[in-house]
Amino acid sequence: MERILVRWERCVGCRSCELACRVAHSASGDLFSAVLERPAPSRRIYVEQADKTPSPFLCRQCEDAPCVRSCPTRALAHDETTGLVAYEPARCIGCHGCVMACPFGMIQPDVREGFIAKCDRCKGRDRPACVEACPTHTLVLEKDFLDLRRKEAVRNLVQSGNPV
Amino acid sequence: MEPFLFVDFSRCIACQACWAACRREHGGVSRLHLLCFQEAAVPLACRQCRKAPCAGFCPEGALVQEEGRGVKFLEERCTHCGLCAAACPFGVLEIVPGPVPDLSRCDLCRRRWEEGLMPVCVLTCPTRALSLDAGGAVGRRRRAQPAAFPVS
Amino acid sequence: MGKEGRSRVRTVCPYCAVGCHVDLLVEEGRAVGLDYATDSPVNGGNLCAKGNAVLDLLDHPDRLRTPLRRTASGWEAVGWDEALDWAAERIGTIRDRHGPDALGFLSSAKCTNEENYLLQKLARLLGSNNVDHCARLCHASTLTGLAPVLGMGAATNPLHDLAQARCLFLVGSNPAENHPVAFQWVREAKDKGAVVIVADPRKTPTAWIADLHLPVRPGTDIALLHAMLHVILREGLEDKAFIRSRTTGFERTVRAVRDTAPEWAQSVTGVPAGDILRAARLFARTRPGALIYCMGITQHHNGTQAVRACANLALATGNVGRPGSGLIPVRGQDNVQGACDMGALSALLPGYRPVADPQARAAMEALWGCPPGTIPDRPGLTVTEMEAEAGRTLRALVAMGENPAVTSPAGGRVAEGLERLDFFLAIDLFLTESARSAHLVLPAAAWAEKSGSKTSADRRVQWSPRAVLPPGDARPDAWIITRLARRLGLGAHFPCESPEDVLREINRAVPAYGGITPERIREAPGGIHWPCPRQDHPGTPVLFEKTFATADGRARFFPVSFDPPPESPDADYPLCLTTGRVTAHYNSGSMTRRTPALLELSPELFVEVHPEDAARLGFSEGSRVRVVTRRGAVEASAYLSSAVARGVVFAPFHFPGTNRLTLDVVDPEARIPAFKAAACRLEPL
Repeated sequence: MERILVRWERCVGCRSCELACRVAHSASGDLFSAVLERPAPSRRIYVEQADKTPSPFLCRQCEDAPCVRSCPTRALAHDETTGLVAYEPARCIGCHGCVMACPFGMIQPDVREGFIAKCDRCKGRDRPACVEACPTHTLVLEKDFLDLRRKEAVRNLVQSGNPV
Repeated sequence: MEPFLFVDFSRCIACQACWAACRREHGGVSRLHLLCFQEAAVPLACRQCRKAPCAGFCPEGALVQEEGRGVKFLEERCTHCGLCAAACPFGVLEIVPGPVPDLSRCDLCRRRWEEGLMPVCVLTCPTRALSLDAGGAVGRRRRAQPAAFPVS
Repeated sequence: MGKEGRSRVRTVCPYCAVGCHVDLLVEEGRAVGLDYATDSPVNGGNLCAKGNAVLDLLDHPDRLRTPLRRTASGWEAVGWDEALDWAAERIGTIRDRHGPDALGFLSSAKCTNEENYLLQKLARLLGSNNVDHCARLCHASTLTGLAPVLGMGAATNPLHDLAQARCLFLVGSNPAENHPVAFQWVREAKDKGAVVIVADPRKTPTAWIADLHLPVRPGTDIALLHAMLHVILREGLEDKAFIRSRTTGFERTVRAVRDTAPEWAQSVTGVPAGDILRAARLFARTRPGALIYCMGITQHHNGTQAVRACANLALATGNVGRPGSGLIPVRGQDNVQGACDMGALSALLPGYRPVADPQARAAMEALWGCPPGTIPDRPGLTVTEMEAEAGRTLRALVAMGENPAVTSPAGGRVAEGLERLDFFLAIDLFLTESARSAHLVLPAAAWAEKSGSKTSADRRVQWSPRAVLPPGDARPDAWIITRLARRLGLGAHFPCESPEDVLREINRAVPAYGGITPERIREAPGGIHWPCPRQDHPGTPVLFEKTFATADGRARFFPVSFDPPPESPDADYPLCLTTGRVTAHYNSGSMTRRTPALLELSPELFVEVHPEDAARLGFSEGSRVRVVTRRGAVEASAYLSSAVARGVVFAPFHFPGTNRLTLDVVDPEARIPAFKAAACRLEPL
């Protein structure tokens, strides 16, 4: 499955991705009902201050993931077909091992589905909610990322005013 | 949410302060064990599981899972059979032999906690490798570490 | 305060030199618990394993509770009057018969400033400069090394200042295990992105977080430091403005490191030349940088030179006199800095004034109200010399809180020397290995059982008040010394009854302590950093911001030459033995080996050996082995770990065996024994 990449230099810290993530992981799936849900829907993407600019952070779906290694019940496992670190709530005992193991702080305890909140790349959606919601196209899918990079490079080259 | 003991083992320096503090606080038996592996050390203690194997295995109902929280221990029901210790994937439950056997298990210093005090291991740890996490504060700190940034 | 009748008293931890606050919960004069001083500006409540176990020292069943006199049939309990009368009579007689130089006094880094001041005053009023203490065994080379360089041999910056550093170079220092609470500032600096370089033969927990670990062969640190300075000068990375405006003697040092290229150092130290190059560039380019060194530098036959090599590196990179930089010798004991400041040293009077200086002697004699000429003008015997002379020219020894039978090199010989003394008076908490040889043992009060000031590694003077009563008939050392002095006819010079009175006398005796009055430090939540010459002076956390303490105000470069350790591994003794601390224990272990929690962590002497060396010699984890050097042999358990370099054997020095093995060679200037490198072999049992 295509990975979500971050063009961190574009982020303006509007937190639209966080909001979209919460809504996508709510029971109702729409903003107005989601705000009233208790417990409040959790997010799996975090806008943090990176150096001096804000930037979204989300699960990197590591191939040799510390969270998977730390899990005593194999509730977390690397799914070879999707390339994602998949979470199986039925197997989870809520020991918080993965929360401590993730070097990026991308797994948080939760009380809704299972015991943790971790990016599942929006199961059942073609494009993840955060990518769709990002107004500055900071969050993009892998293929778009390269397309956009190339377009940007060509534009920069043309605009450099190089005489033909 | 009820807190749990967050271990940031990348910060642990194996100084054993948590172990000594726990041992002191709990009458000479530490409920926390510090183990080294390669170039790292990890303080191991009850994880306050939300669907705890120990509670699932206890035949007497002495270990009771509390909804959305850790496990509560009802001492008067315990027969010290040791099934919980066998069930725990982390080896942090232990029947301490003696004239009156006892189940040694971290309860986050519940007695102190009810007085508004932090667990002793958290207070004594010089490198903040141990903290009490309830609201994701430690995750925030980890996300703020330089290592989490794609570029410096 | 919580429970009724319970009070909370803030004391200063009696173990290492970080000076952590420990809050004791006291009921009816007894400590019933311990709590964390979370609002302390010193340690923020953090304690290490030893700090958590301090309560076991109070009311310990082994504590001495009454004066004990040795008789043919064993120990006999005697009253204080009888004990002190007898001690005074014996000391007086020996002085009359053999002269004052037959008396020796071992002062203690575990006692307060006031007690150290009183003991050295007693020795000097009796006409002897034979007063010294265990700084001789840990940081004597810092004093002799740094005094001519900076004008003062103490840490230039406070420990919490480490958090401001951009680069930390730790050489022969392992704060993660030995000063865990101070390690938090190293960790904090690292969190902020600082570069950490660790030079140590072992990959210690300190080195776990290092960006660069340099596994230097024991005793070859000077070669490493020289090679780094060589690279810095070759590449022009030195701080030229600092060198020009604030130092002298740079030219000679440049010459001294002309031929010390990293390739040469690689062959001597075993550290790859590329790593030395990287370390030099990192340290020179990442400023401010702090250089932290400990006993891995000082406890060598060339300890003084090694300390100066550290100083040269710090001065060349301009890393002295600025926040976040500095030369930081982390002291080992809670008051080793203070004991030195108080003049409990054979050649120095209070305030580091040499005994050979007639003006200094006259000033002290005037303050003490004794006739001119009382203080002898020649330096006395050092710890190691007193031990060598015990039973020869030295006939009587007073040891306050020292355990030389375990802490001194060639420990077996020291114990024999103690047996030969005409009179040996030990003042201690416990009947230590050394006190067993004493004629008279006096029970002392532990840290929380007496009041007094203590000076931590970063010159922070703090007041530790009495919280509880001593067990049995035990008394504070100051009380004992004062009573002994009065019986020796010196009562007129010992009028002080309280530690506060003594500190007021120290205010006048030691200029750097001039403004550190009892009233002020009792109120200061984080103590006061000396120098603090006046009442209205705020103290000096960072030294040398404008000038150095030398005569011309400039720091001096000292050219240093490298010479290999006096004993190198050979065919008969193919391994190198080095010693150090473990996190559970403390120095001679007289306190920690009596603490159940700490004993549970580390119950017995072990040696750490590289698995390849163990496999070659045919033993495995947990095997019993005999460690043999030219001085002796001891048995220990083997602990296999690739953290220690091949060919190196590490042994903790907290157990009586280790110092029967160590080398009996001293640094010519500092007289510190070369504990850190000896040739040994291992024999499986």
